[in-house]
Amino acid sequence: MAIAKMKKLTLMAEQQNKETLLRSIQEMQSIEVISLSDVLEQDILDQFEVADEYSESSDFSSELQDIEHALSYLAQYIPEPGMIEKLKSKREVLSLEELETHVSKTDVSGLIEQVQEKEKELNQIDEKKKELQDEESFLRKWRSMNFLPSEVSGLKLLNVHVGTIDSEHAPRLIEGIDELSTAYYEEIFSRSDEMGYLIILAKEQEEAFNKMTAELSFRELKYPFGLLPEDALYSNLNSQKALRERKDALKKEMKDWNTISRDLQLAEEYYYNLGQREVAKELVLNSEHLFLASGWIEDEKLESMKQVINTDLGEDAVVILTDDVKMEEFDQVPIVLKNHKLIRPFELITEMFSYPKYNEMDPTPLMFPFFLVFFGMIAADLGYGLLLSIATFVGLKFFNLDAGTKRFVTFLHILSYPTMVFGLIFGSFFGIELPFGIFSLQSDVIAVMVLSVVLGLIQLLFGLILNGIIKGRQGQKASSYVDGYAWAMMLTGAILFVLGQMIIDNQLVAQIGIGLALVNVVGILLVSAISSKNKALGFGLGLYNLYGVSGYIGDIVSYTRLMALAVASANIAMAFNLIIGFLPPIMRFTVGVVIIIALQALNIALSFLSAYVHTSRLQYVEFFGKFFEGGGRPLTPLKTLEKHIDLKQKN
Amino acid sequence: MDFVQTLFGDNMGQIFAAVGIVLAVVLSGIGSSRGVGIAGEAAAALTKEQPEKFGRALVLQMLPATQGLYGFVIGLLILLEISPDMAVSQGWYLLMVGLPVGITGLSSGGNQGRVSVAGMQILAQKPEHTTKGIIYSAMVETYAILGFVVSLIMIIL
Repeated sequence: MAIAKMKKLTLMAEQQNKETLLRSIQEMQSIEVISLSDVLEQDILDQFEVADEYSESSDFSSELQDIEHALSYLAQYIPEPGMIEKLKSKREVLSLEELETHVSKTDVSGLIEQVQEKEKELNQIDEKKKELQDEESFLRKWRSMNFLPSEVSGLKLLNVHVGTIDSEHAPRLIEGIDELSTAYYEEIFSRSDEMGYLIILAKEQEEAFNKMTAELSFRELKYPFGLLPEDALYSNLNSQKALRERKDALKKEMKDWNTISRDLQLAEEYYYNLGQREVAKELVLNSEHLFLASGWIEDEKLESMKQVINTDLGEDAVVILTDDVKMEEFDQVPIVLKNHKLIRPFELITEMFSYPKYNEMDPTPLMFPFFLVFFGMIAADLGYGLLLSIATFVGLKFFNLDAGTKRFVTFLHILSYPTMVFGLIFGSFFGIELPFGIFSLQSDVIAVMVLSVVLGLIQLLFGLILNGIIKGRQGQKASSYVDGYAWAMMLTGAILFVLGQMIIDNQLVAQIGIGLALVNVVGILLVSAISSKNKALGFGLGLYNLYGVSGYIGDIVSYTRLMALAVASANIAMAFNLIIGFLPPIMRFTVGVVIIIALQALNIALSFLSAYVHTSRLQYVEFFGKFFEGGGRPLTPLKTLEKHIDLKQKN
Repeated sequence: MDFVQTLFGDNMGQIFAAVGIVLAVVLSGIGSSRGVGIAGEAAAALTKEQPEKFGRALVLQMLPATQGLYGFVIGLLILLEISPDMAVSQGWYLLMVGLPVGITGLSSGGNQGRVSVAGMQILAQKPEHTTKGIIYSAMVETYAILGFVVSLIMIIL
């Protein structure tokens, strides 16, 4: 059910047609190319050689990396269109051929170089700027020195020292200089960690001075400039300004590089596609003149594929062989889910869990009604539903969303309807209790809980019966009874018992219930024992199986979350409304409006989040656990990138 | 006995019920704030590297926020039951009502936050599988929901 029928495909053609054939396959986006070498018999293999010439593909990946790097670099400088504008803009649709002619006309490596040059220049500017900033801070320190150290170094009787010392040592330095009778000092600058001094002393005291400065780690100034600090600072600031202007000019220039960025985007598409085809080539078998390619395709798409190949390569250029899927291949067949367009968005729930195997059922349509009901019941508010419905409708109608987002928004749009329906059933509109409504989330909590459990029981029974059917179909008769029908009947028995005992007060119904359950308990033990080679072990396994009853109690309790989440979100909404109601009228209609919108928005977000998450959990743990194993893998066809453009579909 | 009488006044039942409200709201609030807090730290660390994932990180962070809301709802429902002249035993009962949601919220909030933090790793490295992290995180919440259901039933029956 709802898993597309697949065919195995073998294509044989002349070597010269290889590139064209792979291109058409890529353009179709529906064939997964697989390796033939482990499928074919040895004598056929001997005539072919596996793979060739794949050194080229690595070259494309380096090209691709360069392009990606250039693009991401440019993206920093080219302003992006606004959010709404971006959502509204349509993506360009190109055919593979149009893409390739466009790219062949552009000088891709030239463009990359152009971007790289700018990148290099900007990096150099940044480095230079950093240097200048270091110089600037040095010069600012020495700004008040109004002579050049080199000018005063050659005096006959006096020695002049200019240098810095750590602030903590400064007092000791000054003390020492005071002790030297002929010395003179002057402070040039003073920072919290460092002080600069000019010291003049007689030549004969040099030795004593040196001893002292070595101890206090006095650092002699090395002044690299030919200008006075003040003048050097001025020219430094001027060069910094020039650099800033140059940088701004470069940035401004790159701002308008939209077409270059576009060309690079197309080139990225092109090289990615090329790389993918190279990967596919490695899976192909080659002989001198012929090559063999193999792959999976949906049965439905077979005819259109034949047509496309015939128009692209001419009639009879390619030999197309198709095989049905064999039993032993079930584990390898890639899976394509095929559902009605209303159910299709819900495939995302199944995909998140696991793809079914080829011989399993697609659980999506089976889960669909439950998902609707559970989600609706948890969110359950007419106002919230309306809001979701309108928001998602606007999104779908007026914005161009990419495929994944579109699917999710459609998914939410479908779910907004049960939310509204349950909003009516529970009579809740933004937390305000409506005068009609079958159950109230304030006063009929127990009734709603019973409803949740009943819904849960229906889903559990459905899952167990499904397991019975699936196991039966796979020929596992014993398992079909023990893991499916028997539990379904025991559950029914328990339901009848509760019904007879507590609700309709009919002892006969209760007795029938107990009887049904007991018969199946015995049935499980017997069937387990009979179907197993080791009778005692089989009996033990049957007992262990019965131990699973605790799991069913857990499952049933788990469904009470439907009630809990519905009641919680309704009560929170009600409480928020109540709080705003306490405000005096003036505040209620001014600040109150803002507050209630914020509070309700919070509750809406949390209700829908928990509706989505907990409904999924109920499907995964309580429902899928009963009958669905999964473990299939999705079809990964030879495709194009479609990151910046959409591919025009043939036919 | 006289001492107790002087301490609580004549409305002892009301006082006990109020303690129930405090426990339900405060304990579950602590749990949630701890969970949302640690998940928020991880979200901020992730956003520093990949700011475009803000929205989904926010979803993961919001998951442990529900415990506090369950406690809030129970607190509100207890409040609606309170009257000044209620019996002391009724007060004790309402105090107990606050406990299941309070204690389960206290422990599950922080734990759920830890799972959300781990979920941030999925979001960072394999964003297409983020929803799986969300589901894992929601598994922890089950026990807060059970606590809430029990508190709810206690107050309604």
